[in-house]
Amino acid sequence: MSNMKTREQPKVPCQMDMEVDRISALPGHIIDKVLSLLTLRDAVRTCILSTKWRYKWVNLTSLIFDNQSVLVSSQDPTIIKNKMVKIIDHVLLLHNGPIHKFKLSHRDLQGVCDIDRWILFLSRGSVKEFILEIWKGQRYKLPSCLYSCDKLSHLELFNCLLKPPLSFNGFKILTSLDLQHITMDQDVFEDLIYKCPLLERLTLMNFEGFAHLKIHAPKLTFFDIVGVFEDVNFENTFVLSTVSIGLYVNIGNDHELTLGTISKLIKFFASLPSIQRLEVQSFFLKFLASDMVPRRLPSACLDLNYLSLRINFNEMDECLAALCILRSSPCLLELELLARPDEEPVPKVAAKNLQEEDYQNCFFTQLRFIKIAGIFGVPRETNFISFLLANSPMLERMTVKPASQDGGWELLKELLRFRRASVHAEIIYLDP
Amino acid sequence: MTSSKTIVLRSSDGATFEVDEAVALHSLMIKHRIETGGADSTTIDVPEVTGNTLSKVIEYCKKHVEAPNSDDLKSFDTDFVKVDQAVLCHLAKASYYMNIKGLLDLSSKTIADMFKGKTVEQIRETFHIKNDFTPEEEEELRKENSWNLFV
Repeated sequence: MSNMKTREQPKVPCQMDMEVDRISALPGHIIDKVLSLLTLRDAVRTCILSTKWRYKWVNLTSLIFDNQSVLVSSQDPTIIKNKMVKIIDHVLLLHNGPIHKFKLSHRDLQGVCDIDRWILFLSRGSVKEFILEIWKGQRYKLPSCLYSCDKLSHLELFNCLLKPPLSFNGFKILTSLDLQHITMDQDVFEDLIYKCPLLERLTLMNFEGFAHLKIHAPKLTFFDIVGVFEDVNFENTFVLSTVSIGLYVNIGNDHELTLGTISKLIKFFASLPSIQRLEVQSFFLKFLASDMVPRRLPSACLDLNYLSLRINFNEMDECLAALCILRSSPCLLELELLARPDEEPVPKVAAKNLQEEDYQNCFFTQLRFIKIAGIFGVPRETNFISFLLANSPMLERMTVKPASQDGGWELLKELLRFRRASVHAEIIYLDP
Repeated sequence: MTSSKTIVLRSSDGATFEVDEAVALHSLMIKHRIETGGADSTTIDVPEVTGNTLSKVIEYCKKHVEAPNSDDLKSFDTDFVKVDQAVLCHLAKASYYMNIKGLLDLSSKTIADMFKGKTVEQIRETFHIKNDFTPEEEEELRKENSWNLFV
Protein backbone atom coordinates (compact mmCIF):
# COMPACT_ATOMS: atom_id res chain seq x y z
CA MET A 1 0.00 0.00 0.00
CA SER A 2 2.71 2.50 0.90
CA ASN A 3 4.78 3.78 -1.98
CA MET A 4 8.39 3.05 -1.21
CA LYS A 5 10.85 5.55 -2.57
CA THR A 6 12.99 2.87 -4.22
CA ARG A 7 11.27 3.28 -7.55
CA GLU A 8 11.14 7.04 -7.88
CA GLN A 9 13.65 9.79 -7.51
CA PRO A 10 12.77 12.12 -4.68
CA LYS A 11 11.60 15.46 -5.98
CA VAL A 12 13.40 17.34 -3.24
CA PRO A 13 16.67 16.59 -1.50
CA CYS A 14 15.45 14.38 1.31
CA GLN A 15 15.45 10.67 1.71
CA MET A 16 12.24 10.08 3.58
CA ASP A 17 9.70 11.77 1.31
CA MET A 18 6.96 9.16 1.48
CA GLU A 19 4.04 9.96 -0.75
CA VAL A 20 1.82 10.89 2.10
CA ASP A 21 -0.79 13.58 1.83
CA ARG A 22 0.30 15.77 4.71
CA ILE A 23 -1.23 18.99 3.60
CA SER A 24 -4.85 17.93 3.86
CA ALA A 25 -4.32 17.13 7.54
CA LEU A 26 -2.81 20.48 8.49
CA PRO A 27 -4.72 22.37 11.17
CA GLY A 28 -7.59 24.49 9.88
CA HIS A 29 -5.89 27.76 10.81
CA ILE A 30 -2.90 26.96 8.66
CA ILE A 31 -5.05 25.97 5.71
CA ASP A 32 -7.02 29.18 6.14
CA LYS A 33 -3.80 31.09 6.06
CA VAL A 34 -2.52 29.28 2.98
CA LEU A 35 -5.80 29.80 1.12
CA SER A 36 -5.84 33.46 2.05
CA LEU A 37 -2.54 33.85 0.23
CA LEU A 38 -4.09 32.61 -3.01
CA THR A 39 -6.42 34.55 -5.27
CA LEU A 40 -10.05 33.85 -4.54
CA ARG A 41 -10.19 31.94 -7.79
CA ASP A 42 -7.38 29.57 -6.81
CA ALA A 43 -8.77 29.19 -3.31
CA VAL A 44 -12.28 28.24 -4.44
CA ARG A 45 -10.91 25.84 -7.00
CA THR A 46 -9.38 23.74 -4.24
CA CYS A 47 -12.90 22.45 -3.64
CA ILE A 48 -12.30 19.87 -6.31
CA LEU A 49 -9.09 18.40 -4.91
CA SER A 50 -10.69 15.84 -2.61
CA THR A 51 -13.67 15.42 -0.31
CA LYS A 52 -11.60 16.89 2.52
CA TRP A 53 -10.96 20.02 0.47
CA ARG A 54 -14.50 20.56 -0.72
CA TYR A 55 -15.38 23.15 1.88
CA LYS A 56 -12.01 24.32 3.14
CA TRP A 57 -12.26 27.57 1.16
CA VAL A 58 -15.58 28.62 2.69
CA ASN A 59 -13.87 29.77 5.87
CA LEU A 60 -11.84 32.44 4.15
CA THR A 61 -12.06 35.63 6.19
CA SER A 62 -10.91 37.80 3.33
CA LEU A 63 -12.88 37.95 0.06
CA ILE A 64 -11.31 39.85 -2.80
CA PHE A 65 -13.16 40.12 -6.09
CA ASP A 66 -10.91 41.73 -8.67
CA ASN A 67 -9.57 41.07 -12.14
CA GLN A 68 -7.28 38.36 -10.82
CA SER A 69 -9.87 36.42 -8.92
CA VAL A 70 -12.66 36.72 -11.45
CA LEU A 71 -11.72 36.02 -15.04
CA VAL A 72 -14.23 37.11 -17.63
CA SER A 73 -13.23 36.66 -21.23
CA SER A 74 -15.95 38.88 -22.63
CA GLN A 75 -15.92 42.64 -22.98
CA ASP A 76 -19.67 42.92 -23.05
CA PRO A 77 -20.75 44.79 -19.90
CA THR A 78 -23.91 42.74 -19.48
CA ILE A 79 -22.05 39.45 -19.65
CA ILE A 80 -19.45 40.71 -17.23
CA LYS A 81 -22.08 41.95 -14.84
CA ASN A 82 -24.01 38.70 -14.97
CA LYS A 83 -20.95 36.61 -14.31
CA MET A 84 -19.73 38.76 -11.47
CA VAL A 85 -23.12 38.84 -9.79
CA LYS A 86 -23.39 35.09 -10.11
CA ILE A 87 -19.94 34.59 -8.62
CA ILE A 88 -20.31 36.96 -5.70
CA ASP A 89 -23.78 35.70 -4.85
CA HIS A 90 -22.47 32.15 -4.98
CA VAL A 91 -19.45 32.83 -2.80
CA LEU A 92 -21.41 34.75 -0.19
CA LEU A 93 -24.07 32.08 0.00
CA LEU A 94 -21.64 29.20 0.42
CA HIS A 95 -19.36 31.13 2.71
CA ASN A 96 -19.23 30.14 6.34
CA GLY A 97 -17.98 32.15 9.23
CA PRO A 98 -16.93 35.76 9.66
CA ILE A 99 -15.86 37.96 6.79
CA HIS A 100 -13.26 40.44 7.93
CA LYS A 101 -12.26 41.92 4.60
CA PHE A 102 -14.37 42.46 1.50
CA LYS A 103 -12.95 44.03 -1.62
CA LEU A 104 -14.73 44.56 -4.91
CA SER A 105 -12.55 46.15 -7.54
CA HIS A 106 -13.12 44.73 -10.96
CA ARG A 107 -12.04 47.04 -13.76
CA ASP A 108 -14.90 46.14 -16.06
CA LEU A 109 -17.73 46.24 -13.57
CA GLN A 110 -19.97 49.26 -13.36
CA GLY A 111 -21.89 50.18 -10.28
CA VAL A 112 -24.65 47.60 -10.28
CA CYS A 113 -27.43 47.66 -7.72
CA ASP A 114 -26.51 44.15 -6.62
CA ILE A 115 -23.78 45.85 -4.65
CA ASP A 116 -26.43 47.13 -2.27
CA ARG A 117 -27.46 43.56 -1.52
CA TRP A 118 -23.91 42.48 -0.81
CA ILE A 119 -23.33 45.41 1.51
CA LEU A 120 -26.52 44.51 3.35
CA PHE A 121 -25.19 40.99 3.80
CA LEU A 122 -21.89 42.32 5.12
CA SER A 123 -23.56 44.79 7.45
CA ARG A 124 -25.17 41.89 9.27
CA GLY A 125 -21.76 40.47 10.04
CA SER A 126 -18.75 42.20 11.46
CA VAL A 127 -16.77 43.28 8.44
CA LYS A 128 -13.63 45.20 9.38
CA GLU A 129 -12.27 46.24 6.00
CA PHE A 130 -14.47 47.29 3.13
CA ILE A 131 -13.03 48.32 -0.22
CA LEU A 132 -15.22 49.25 -3.14
CA GLU A 133 -13.78 50.56 -6.39
CA ILE A 134 -16.13 51.32 -9.25
CA TRP A 135 -13.94 51.70 -12.27
CA LYS A 136 -16.57 52.38 -14.88
CA GLY A 137 -19.61 54.54 -15.02
CA GLN A 138 -20.92 57.22 -12.74
CA ARG A 139 -20.62 57.63 -9.01
CA TYR A 140 -22.18 54.74 -7.18
CA LYS A 141 -24.58 55.77 -4.43
CA LEU A 142 -23.85 53.70 -1.37
CA PRO A 143 -26.79 52.15 0.44
CA SER A 144 -27.66 53.23 3.96
CA CYS A 145 -26.78 49.81 5.37
CA LEU A 146 -23.11 50.55 4.76
CA TYR A 147 -23.26 53.13 7.50
CA SER A 148 -24.36 50.56 10.02
CA CYS A 149 -21.19 48.49 9.60
CA ASP A 150 -19.99 49.56 12.96
CA LYS A 151 -17.01 47.20 13.13
CA LEU A 152 -15.25 48.89 10.24
CA SER A 153 -11.64 49.83 10.83
CA HIS A 154 -10.72 50.49 7.18
CA LEU A 155 -12.98 51.98 4.53
CA GLU A 156 -11.82 52.61 0.99
CA LEU A 157 -14.07 53.97 -1.73
CA PHE A 158 -13.45 54.92 -5.33
CA ASN A 159 -16.04 56.61 -7.51
CA CYS A 160 -18.84 56.57 -4.96
CA LEU A 161 -21.47 58.93 -3.67
CA LEU A 162 -21.89 59.19 0.08
CA LYS A 163 -25.17 60.22 1.59
CA PRO A 164 -25.57 58.63 5.00
CA PRO A 165 -28.95 58.51 6.70
CA LEU A 166 -29.76 61.02 9.43
CA SER A 167 -29.35 58.31 12.02
CA PHE A 168 -25.72 57.79 11.07
CA ASN A 169 -23.59 57.87 14.18
CA GLY A 170 -20.15 57.52 12.68
CA PHE A 171 -17.79 54.60 12.48
CA LYS A 172 -16.65 54.36 16.06
CA ILE A 173 -13.56 52.24 15.49
CA LEU A 174 -12.58 53.38 12.03
CA THR A 175 -8.86 54.08 11.90
CA SER A 176 -8.28 54.39 8.16
CA LEU A 177 -10.38 56.18 5.54
CA ASP A 178 -9.49 56.43 1.86
CA LEU A 179 -11.88 58.32 -0.40
CA GLN A 180 -11.05 58.95 -4.03
CA HIS A 181 -13.27 60.36 -6.75
CA ILE A 182 -16.17 60.70 -4.39
CA THR A 183 -19.06 63.08 -3.97
CA MET A 184 -20.60 64.16 -0.72
CA ASP A 185 -22.07 67.27 0.82
CA GLN A 186 -20.10 69.64 3.02
CA ASP A 187 -21.94 68.74 6.20
CA VAL A 188 -21.71 65.04 5.46
CA PHE A 189 -17.96 65.34 5.16
CA GLU A 190 -17.48 67.28 8.37
CA ASP A 191 -19.82 64.98 10.21
CA LEU A 192 -18.08 61.89 8.95
CA ILE A 193 -14.65 63.03 10.11
CA TYR A 194 -15.96 64.28 13.41
CA LYS A 195 -17.84 61.10 14.17
CA CYS A 196 -14.86 58.81 13.59
CA PRO A 197 -12.94 59.61 16.76
CA LEU A 198 -10.23 56.99 16.28
CA LEU A 199 -9.31 58.02 12.75
CA GLU A 200 -5.57 57.78 12.19
CA ARG A 201 -5.21 57.86 8.42
CA LEU A 202 -7.19 59.99 5.98
CA THR A 203 -6.73 60.06 2.22
CA LEU A 204 -8.87 62.29 0.02
CA MET A 205 -8.35 62.51 -3.68
CA ASN A 206 -10.51 64.31 -6.19
CA PHE A 207 -13.73 65.03 -4.40
CA GLU A 208 -16.88 66.95 -5.23
CA GLY A 209 -19.61 68.51 -3.19
CA PHE A 210 -17.56 70.15 -0.50
CA ALA A 211 -14.87 72.81 -0.55
CA HIS A 212 -14.13 73.61 3.07
CA LEU A 213 -11.99 71.06 4.76
CA LYS A 214 -12.62 71.05 8.45
CA ILE A 215 -10.56 68.27 9.91
CA HIS A 216 -11.36 67.52 13.50
CA ALA A 217 -9.46 64.32 14.23
CA PRO A 218 -7.60 64.00 17.53
CA LYS A 219 -5.91 60.71 16.63
CA LEU A 220 -4.97 61.55 13.07
CA THR A 221 -1.34 60.88 12.17
CA PHE A 222 -1.48 60.68 8.35
CA PHE A 223 -3.30 63.02 5.99
CA ASP A 224 -3.08 63.01 2.21
CA ILE A 225 -5.30 65.22 0.11
CA VAL A 226 -5.32 66.25 -3.51
CA GLY A 227 -8.20 68.13 -5.04
CA VAL A 228 -10.02 71.40 -5.34
CA PHE A 229 -10.92 73.18 -2.13
CA GLU A 230 -11.20 76.68 -0.73
CA ASP A 231 -9.63 76.29 2.64
CA VAL A 232 -8.37 73.76 5.10
CA ASN A 233 -8.82 73.96 8.84
CA PHE A 234 -7.16 71.55 11.15
CA GLU A 235 -8.81 71.38 14.52
CA ASN A 236 -7.45 69.25 17.28
CA THR A 237 -4.89 67.52 15.07
CA PHE A 238 -2.10 67.61 17.55
CA VAL A 239 -0.56 64.26 16.64
CA LEU A 240 -0.74 64.70 12.90
CA SER A 241 2.78 63.97 11.70
CA THR A 242 2.58 63.23 7.96
CA VAL A 243 0.73 65.63 5.70
CA SER A 244 0.56 65.88 1.94
CA ILE A 245 -1.66 68.56 0.42
CA GLY A 246 -2.18 69.37 -3.23
CA LEU A 247 -4.51 72.12 -4.34
CA TYR A 248 -5.42 71.63 -7.98
CA VAL A 249 -6.83 75.03 -8.72
CA ASN A 250 -4.84 78.16 -9.31
CA ILE A 251 -6.24 80.58 -6.79
CA GLY A 252 -5.33 83.57 -8.91
CA ASN A 253 -3.45 86.67 -7.87
CA ASP A 254 -6.11 89.13 -6.91
CA HIS A 255 -7.36 88.04 -3.54
CA GLU A 256 -8.29 90.56 -0.93
CA LEU A 257 -6.15 90.79 2.11
CA THR A 258 -8.50 91.05 5.02
CA LEU A 259 -6.79 92.91 7.81
CA GLY A 260 -6.72 91.39 11.23
CA THR A 261 -6.92 87.79 10.20
CA ILE A 262 -4.13 85.43 11.08
CA SER A 263 -2.05 84.61 8.07
CA LYS A 264 -2.88 81.31 6.44
CA LEU A 265 0.68 80.19 6.85
CA ILE A 266 0.73 80.81 10.58
CA LYS A 267 -2.66 79.23 11.09
CA PHE A 268 -1.69 76.17 9.10
CA PHE A 269 1.44 75.41 11.08
CA ALA A 270 -0.08 76.38 14.41
CA SER A 271 -2.58 73.58 14.06
CA LEU A 272 0.11 71.02 13.22
CA PRO A 273 2.53 71.09 16.14
CA SER A 274 3.71 67.51 15.57
CA ILE A 275 4.35 67.71 11.87
CA GLN A 276 7.28 65.54 10.75
CA ARG A 277 6.77 65.08 7.02
CA LEU A 278 5.11 67.69 4.85
CA GLU A 279 4.47 67.73 1.11
CA VAL A 280 3.01 70.85 -0.40
CA GLN A 281 1.88 70.13 -3.93
CA SER A 282 0.52 71.97 -6.97
CA PHE A 283 -0.88 75.34 -5.88
CA PHE A 284 -1.06 74.88 -2.14
CA LEU A 285 2.05 76.93 -1.42
CA LYS A 286 0.54 79.76 -3.39
CA PHE A 287 -2.59 79.36 -1.29
CA LEU A 288 -0.60 79.51 1.95
CA ALA A 289 1.27 82.56 0.72
CA SER A 290 -1.82 84.39 -0.41
CA ASP A 291 -2.03 86.66 2.55
CA MET A 292 0.52 88.02 4.93
CA VAL A 293 3.71 86.00 5.02
CA PRO A 294 5.72 86.46 8.21
CA ARG A 295 9.45 86.22 8.33
CA ARG A 296 9.26 83.24 10.58
CA LEU A 297 6.55 81.27 12.31
CA PRO A 298 5.64 82.11 15.92
CA SER A 299 6.69 78.65 17.04
CA ALA A 300 9.28 76.55 15.30
CA CYS A 301 8.43 73.22 13.67
CA LEU A 302 10.77 71.21 15.81
CA ASP A 303 9.72 67.84 14.48
CA LEU A 304 9.74 68.67 10.79
CA ASN A 305 12.43 66.54 9.19
CA TYR A 306 11.13 66.18 5.60
CA LEU A 307 9.74 68.99 3.46
CA SER A 308 8.72 68.92 -0.17
CA LEU A 309 7.45 72.09 -1.84
CA ARG A 310 6.02 72.63 -5.28
CA ILE A 311 7.10 76.21 -5.79
CA ASN A 312 7.00 78.83 -8.52
CA PHE A 313 10.31 80.61 -8.15
CA ASN A 314 8.92 83.56 -10.09
CA GLU A 315 6.32 84.24 -7.42
CA MET A 316 7.95 86.24 -4.68
CA ASP A 317 5.20 85.41 -2.17
CA GLU A 318 5.82 81.71 -2.61
CA CYS A 319 9.56 82.15 -2.18
CA LEU A 320 9.02 84.19 0.96
CA ALA A 321 6.63 81.58 2.28
CA ALA A 322 9.19 78.87 1.59
CA LEU A 323 11.86 80.87 3.40
CA CYS A 324 9.53 81.43 6.32
CA ILE A 325 8.95 77.71 6.68
CA LEU A 326 12.64 76.92 6.24
CA ARG A 327 13.60 79.52 8.82
CA SER A 328 11.23 77.90 11.27
CA SER A 329 12.37 74.30 10.75
CA PRO A 330 15.71 73.89 12.51
CA CYS A 331 15.61 70.09 12.41
CA LEU A 332 15.02 69.64 8.71
CA LEU A 333 16.90 66.66 7.27
CA GLU A 334 15.59 66.46 3.74
CA LEU A 335 14.30 69.14 1.41
CA GLU A 336 12.72 68.78 -1.99
CA LEU A 337 11.88 71.75 -4.22
CA LEU A 338 9.88 71.05 -7.35
CA ALA A 339 9.60 74.02 -9.66
CA ARG A 340 6.19 74.89 -11.00
CA PRO A 341 6.34 76.83 -14.22
CA ASP A 342 4.43 80.08 -14.70
CA GLU A 343 0.78 79.65 -15.46
CA GLU A 344 0.42 82.60 -17.79
CA PRO A 345 2.23 82.29 -21.08
CA VAL A 346 3.87 85.70 -20.61
CA PRO A 347 5.63 86.16 -17.29
CA LYS A 348 4.86 89.28 -15.32
CA VAL A 349 7.27 92.04 -16.22
CA ALA A 350 7.44 93.62 -12.81
CA ALA A 351 7.93 90.50 -10.74
CA LYS A 352 10.10 91.34 -7.76
CA ASN A 353 13.25 89.55 -6.85
CA LEU A 354 14.23 88.34 -3.44
CA GLN A 355 16.69 90.58 -1.70
CA GLU A 356 19.70 89.74 0.40
CA GLU A 357 17.77 90.40 3.61
CA ASP A 358 15.06 87.93 2.64
CA TYR A 359 17.62 85.16 2.88
CA GLN A 360 19.01 86.17 6.24
CA ASN A 361 18.84 84.20 9.47
CA CYS A 362 18.15 80.98 7.74
CA PHE A 363 20.60 78.28 8.64
CA PHE A 364 20.21 74.55 8.21
CA THR A 365 22.14 72.75 10.89
CA GLN A 366 20.71 69.32 10.13
CA LEU A 367 19.91 69.39 6.45
CA ARG A 368 21.51 66.44 4.69
CA PHE A 369 19.71 65.95 1.41
CA ILE A 370 18.33 68.42 -1.07
CA LYS A 371 16.49 67.64 -4.28
CA ILE A 372 15.68 70.28 -6.85
CA ALA A 373 13.75 69.52 -10.01
CA GLY A 374 12.03 71.23 -12.90
CA ILE A 375 14.12 74.37 -12.94
CA PHE A 376 15.34 76.34 -15.92
CA GLY A 377 18.48 77.84 -14.45
CA VAL A 378 17.23 81.41 -14.20
CA PRO A 379 18.69 83.68 -11.51
CA ARG A 380 15.69 83.40 -9.22
CA GLU A 381 16.24 79.69 -9.06
CA THR A 382 20.02 79.65 -8.93
CA ASN A 383 20.10 82.29 -6.21
CA PHE A 384 17.95 80.05 -4.08
CA ILE A 385 20.22 77.10 -4.72
CA SER A 386 23.26 79.14 -3.90
CA PHE A 387 21.64 80.24 -0.65
CA LEU A 388 20.85 76.64 0.29
CA LEU A 389 24.39 75.48 -0.40
CA ALA A 390 25.92 78.31 1.57
CA ASN A 391 23.83 77.60 4.64
CA SER A 392 23.88 73.80 4.96
CA PRO A 393 27.06 72.74 6.75
CA MET A 394 25.87 69.13 7.09
CA LEU A 395 24.79 68.65 3.52
CA GLU A 396 25.64 65.25 2.05
CA ARG A 397 23.97 65.36 -1.31
CA MET A 398 22.13 67.78 -3.56
CA THR A 399 20.56 66.56 -6.78
CA VAL A 400 19.51 69.01 -9.45
CA LYS A 401 17.31 68.00 -12.35
CA PRO A 402 16.39 70.73 -14.83
CA ALA A 403 13.16 70.87 -16.78
CA SER A 404 14.88 70.60 -20.13
CA GLN A 405 18.26 70.34 -21.78
CA ASP A 406 18.22 74.04 -22.74
CA GLY A 407 20.66 76.01 -20.64
CA GLY A 408 21.92 72.83 -19.06
CA TRP A 409 25.54 73.84 -19.52
CA GLU A 410 24.97 77.26 -18.03
CA LEU A 411 23.30 75.74 -15.03
CA LEU A 412 26.15 73.31 -14.54
CA LYS A 413 28.69 76.10 -14.67
CA GLU A 414 26.77 78.03 -12.04
CA LEU A 415 26.43 75.02 -9.78
CA LEU A 416 30.15 74.43 -9.97
CA ARG A 417 30.84 77.96 -8.92
CA PHE A 418 28.64 78.09 -5.83
CA ARG A 419 30.22 78.15 -2.42
CA ARG A 420 29.30 75.23 -0.22
CA ALA A 421 29.18 75.28 3.53
CA SER A 422 29.63 71.52 3.60
CA VAL A 423 32.90 70.18 2.26
CA HIS A 424 31.36 66.73 1.98
CA ALA A 425 28.47 67.77 -0.21
CA GLU A 426 27.99 65.97 -3.49
CA ILE A 427 26.16 67.88 -6.16
CA ILE A 428 24.60 65.60 -8.70
CA TYR A 429 23.22 66.90 -11.95
CA LEU A 430 20.52 64.67 -13.40
CA ASP A 431 19.56 64.77 -17.02
CA PRO A 432 16.00 65.92 -17.60
CA MET B 1 17.82 39.37 34.84
CA THR B 2 21.03 38.50 33.06
CA SER B 3 21.06 38.17 29.32
CA SER B 4 22.78 34.81 29.50
CA LYS B 5 19.86 32.98 31.04
CA THR B 6 19.09 29.82 29.18
CA ILE B 7 15.98 27.77 28.81
CA VAL B 8 15.79 24.09 28.03
CA LEU B 9 13.19 23.00 25.51
CA ARG B 10 12.11 19.37 25.47
CA SER B 11 10.54 17.90 22.37
CA SER B 12 7.91 15.18 22.12
CA ASP B 13 10.56 12.50 21.71
CA GLY B 14 12.57 13.62 24.72
CA ALA B 15 15.29 15.57 22.92
CA THR B 16 16.45 18.59 24.88
CA PHE B 17 17.79 21.85 23.53
CA GLU B 18 19.41 24.58 25.58
CA VAL B 19 18.73 28.02 24.15
CA ASP B 20 19.16 31.60 25.25
CA GLU B 21 16.05 32.93 26.88
CA ALA B 22 15.83 35.74 24.31
CA VAL B 23 15.73 33.17 21.52
CA ALA B 24 13.10 31.09 23.29
CA LEU B 25 10.92 34.13 23.82
CA HIS B 26 10.57 34.47 20.05
CA SER B 27 7.88 31.84 20.53
CA LEU B 28 4.93 33.58 22.13
CA MET B 29 3.74 30.26 23.49
CA ILE B 30 7.00 29.77 25.37
CA LYS B 31 6.92 33.39 26.48
CA HIS B 32 3.51 32.82 27.96
CA ARG B 33 4.62 29.61 29.66
CA ILE B 34 7.62 31.34 31.22
CA GLU B 35 5.59 34.29 32.37
CA THR B 36 2.93 32.18 33.96
CA GLY B 37 5.07 29.25 35.02
CA GLY B 38 6.82 30.80 37.99
CA ALA B 39 10.49 31.03 38.81
CA ASP B 40 11.34 27.39 38.20
CA SER B 41 10.37 27.26 34.56
CA THR B 42 13.77 26.55 33.07
CA THR B 43 12.63 23.44 31.22
CA ILE B 44 9.70 23.81 28.91
CA ASP B 45 7.99 20.84 27.32
CA VAL B 46 6.93 21.17 23.72
CA PRO B 47 4.99 17.92 23.23
CA GLU B 48 3.54 18.96 19.89
CA VAL B 49 6.92 19.12 18.22
CA THR B 50 9.51 16.41 17.53
CA GLY B 51 13.21 16.89 18.11
CA ASN B 52 14.14 17.28 14.45
CA THR B 53 11.58 20.01 13.87
CA LEU B 54 12.30 21.73 17.15
CA SER B 55 15.95 21.93 16.24
CA LYS B 56 15.08 23.69 12.99
CA VAL B 57 12.64 26.01 14.72
CA ILE B 58 15.33 27.01 17.16
CA GLU B 59 17.67 27.67 14.25
CA TYR B 60 15.06 30.07 12.80
CA CYS B 61 14.50 31.83 16.09
CA LYS B 62 18.22 32.21 16.72
CA LYS B 63 18.77 33.91 13.38
CA HIS B 64 15.79 36.22 13.77
CA VAL B 65 16.59 37.18 17.34
CA GLU B 66 20.33 37.55 17.02
CA ALA B 67 20.54 39.24 13.64
CA PRO B 68 17.13 40.71 12.81
CA ASN B 69 18.52 43.48 10.65
CA SER B 70 21.13 41.58 8.72
CA ASP B 71 21.14 41.85 4.95
CA ASP B 72 21.08 38.12 4.45
CA LEU B 73 17.94 37.57 6.51
CA LYS B 74 15.85 37.32 3.37
CA SER B 75 18.12 34.79 1.75
CA PHE B 76 18.28 32.90 5.04
CA ASP B 77 14.50 32.65 5.03
CA THR B 78 14.40 31.59 1.39
CA ASP B 79 16.93 28.85 1.98
CA PHE B 80 15.35 27.86 5.26
CA VAL B 81 12.21 26.65 3.56
CA LYS B 82 13.95 24.77 0.77
CA VAL B 83 13.00 21.53 2.42
CA ASP B 84 10.76 18.64 1.51
CA GLN B 85 7.04 18.77 2.17
CA ALA B 86 7.18 16.70 5.31
CA VAL B 87 9.59 19.10 6.97
CA LEU B 88 7.69 22.08 5.63
CA CYS B 89 4.42 20.86 7.09
CA HIS B 90 6.10 20.06 10.40
CA LEU B 91 7.54 23.57 10.47
CA ALA B 92 4.15 25.09 9.72
CA LYS B 93 2.50 23.11 12.50
CA ALA B 94 5.28 23.82 14.95
CA SER B 95 5.23 27.55 14.24
CA TYR B 96 1.48 27.51 14.74
CA TYR B 97 1.58 25.67 18.06
CA MET B 98 4.54 27.63 19.30
CA ASN B 99 3.07 30.90 18.07
CA ILE B 100 5.98 32.13 15.99
CA LYS B 101 4.36 34.48 13.51
CA GLY B 102 7.32 35.00 11.19
CA LEU B 103 7.87 31.31 10.68
CA LEU B 104 4.16 30.64 10.26
CA ASP B 105 3.96 33.33 7.61
CA LEU B 106 7.05 32.01 5.88
CA SER B 107 5.96 28.39 5.79
CA SER B 108 2.38 29.27 4.83
CA LYS B 109 3.59 31.40 1.96
CA THR B 110 5.88 28.64 0.77
CA ILE B 111 3.01 26.17 0.77
CA ALA B 112 0.73 28.69 -0.96
CA ASP B 113 3.30 29.26 -3.69
CA MET B 114 3.19 25.53 -4.41
CA PHE B 115 -0.45 25.92 -5.42
CA LYS B 116 0.07 28.72 -7.86
CA GLY B 117 0.11 28.21 -11.58
CA LYS B 118 -0.88 24.57 -11.36
CA THR B 119 -3.82 22.61 -12.69
CA VAL B 120 -5.89 20.55 -10.29
CA GLU B 121 -4.11 17.40 -11.33
CA GLN B 122 -0.74 19.00 -10.79
CA ILE B 123 -1.74 20.17 -7.33
CA ARG B 124 -2.95 16.69 -6.42
CA GLU B 125 0.33 15.27 -7.64
CA THR B 126 2.44 17.81 -5.78
CA PHE B 127 0.79 17.16 -2.48
CA HIS B 128 -0.17 13.51 -3.06
CA ILE B 129 -3.83 14.30 -2.62
CA LYS B 130 -6.08 11.46 -3.62
CA ASN B 131 -9.22 12.27 -5.55
CA ASP B 132 -11.72 10.39 -3.42
CA PHE B 133 -14.96 11.75 -4.78
CA THR B 134 -17.56 9.13 -5.55
CA PRO B 135 -19.43 9.62 -8.83
CA GLU B 136 -22.45 10.90 -6.88
CA GLU B 137 -20.32 13.35 -4.97
CA GLU B 138 -18.68 14.53 -8.14
CA GLU B 139 -22.05 15.09 -9.71
CA GLU B 140 -23.18 17.06 -6.68
CA LEU B 141 -20.01 19.11 -6.77
CA ARG B 142 -20.55 19.83 -10.41
CA LYS B 143 -24.11 20.98 -9.75
CA GLU B 144 -22.94 23.21 -6.94
CA ASN B 145 -20.93 25.06 -9.57
CA SER B 146 -18.13 26.45 -7.40
CA TRP B 147 -15.57 25.01 -9.76
CA ASN B 148 -17.16 26.10 -13.02
CA LEU B 149 -17.74 29.67 -11.99
CA PHE B 150 -14.05 30.15 -11.48
CA VAL B 151 -12.65 28.32 -14.45
